[in-house]
Amino acid sequence: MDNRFEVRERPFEHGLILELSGDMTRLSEESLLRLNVWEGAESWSGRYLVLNFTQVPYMNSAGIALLIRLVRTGMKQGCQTFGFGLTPHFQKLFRMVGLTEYMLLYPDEYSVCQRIDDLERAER
Amino acid sequence: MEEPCLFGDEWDISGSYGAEKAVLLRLEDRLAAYGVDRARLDDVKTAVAEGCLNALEHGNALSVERSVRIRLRGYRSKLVIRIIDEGNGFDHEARLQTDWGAKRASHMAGDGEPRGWGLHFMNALADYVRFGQENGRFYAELEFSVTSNGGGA
Repeated sequence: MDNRFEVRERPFEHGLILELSGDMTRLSEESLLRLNVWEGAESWSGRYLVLNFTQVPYMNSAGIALLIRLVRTGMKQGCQTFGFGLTPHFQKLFRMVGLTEYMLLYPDEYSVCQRIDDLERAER
Repeated sequence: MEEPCLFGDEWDISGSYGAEKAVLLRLEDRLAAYGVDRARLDDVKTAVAEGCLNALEHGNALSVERSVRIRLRGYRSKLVIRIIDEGNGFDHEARLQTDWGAKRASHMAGDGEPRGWGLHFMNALADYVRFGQENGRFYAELEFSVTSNGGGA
């Protein structure tokens, strides 16, 4: 029953992917706050933060509040946040709290990377 | 005429965050067997989880000495789930009047703790939310309209 939350940072060319696994609840706070992502985008040199939800079976309002803080921090640092691997139900909850206005959701990592590549090409 | 209750169950939990998961597992088994579709089941589980968390945290102050009782009643067209804690309740009418749009905007713009969405999830995902007292204990009650195949309940 205990699905301990863990997160791993995986840098990529244009930013950082957070591999999330386990239940995202109030108890996830400690793991999330240890991440370099809070130090600022300079510390991981990128403009894009990508959250992988494929291994997150359970989220409650406290876990979603942590995500709001994370996305908010990214926005202030000039980062765009993406997410992928969310069930339709969790996408619905994210819409209800307004998170989808600030975190762009895609079905999988490949489509996120395609979108980021397009954005980078458009910048040049 | 009142609909007959087709099945029921009761569970007690106590303690801290995470205690609600045991209820969700039992709910899933019970309701999947009854044929409630996946999307509706997810709504029920989220709303009940939030109700339990409110009861554990705000009603019972996370005390292991206090329990939360979850009572499920299944009818042909609806589910009624009552979550009873040992607290004194809260001003639910005022809380339900929250301007959720303004709350969304302020959470993304501000620096504070963006909590307080549990009640909104309960109210949005259930068809009815009621609050009251049962034998001196506070409860939140969630009602969900369902269609089911009436499987082995």
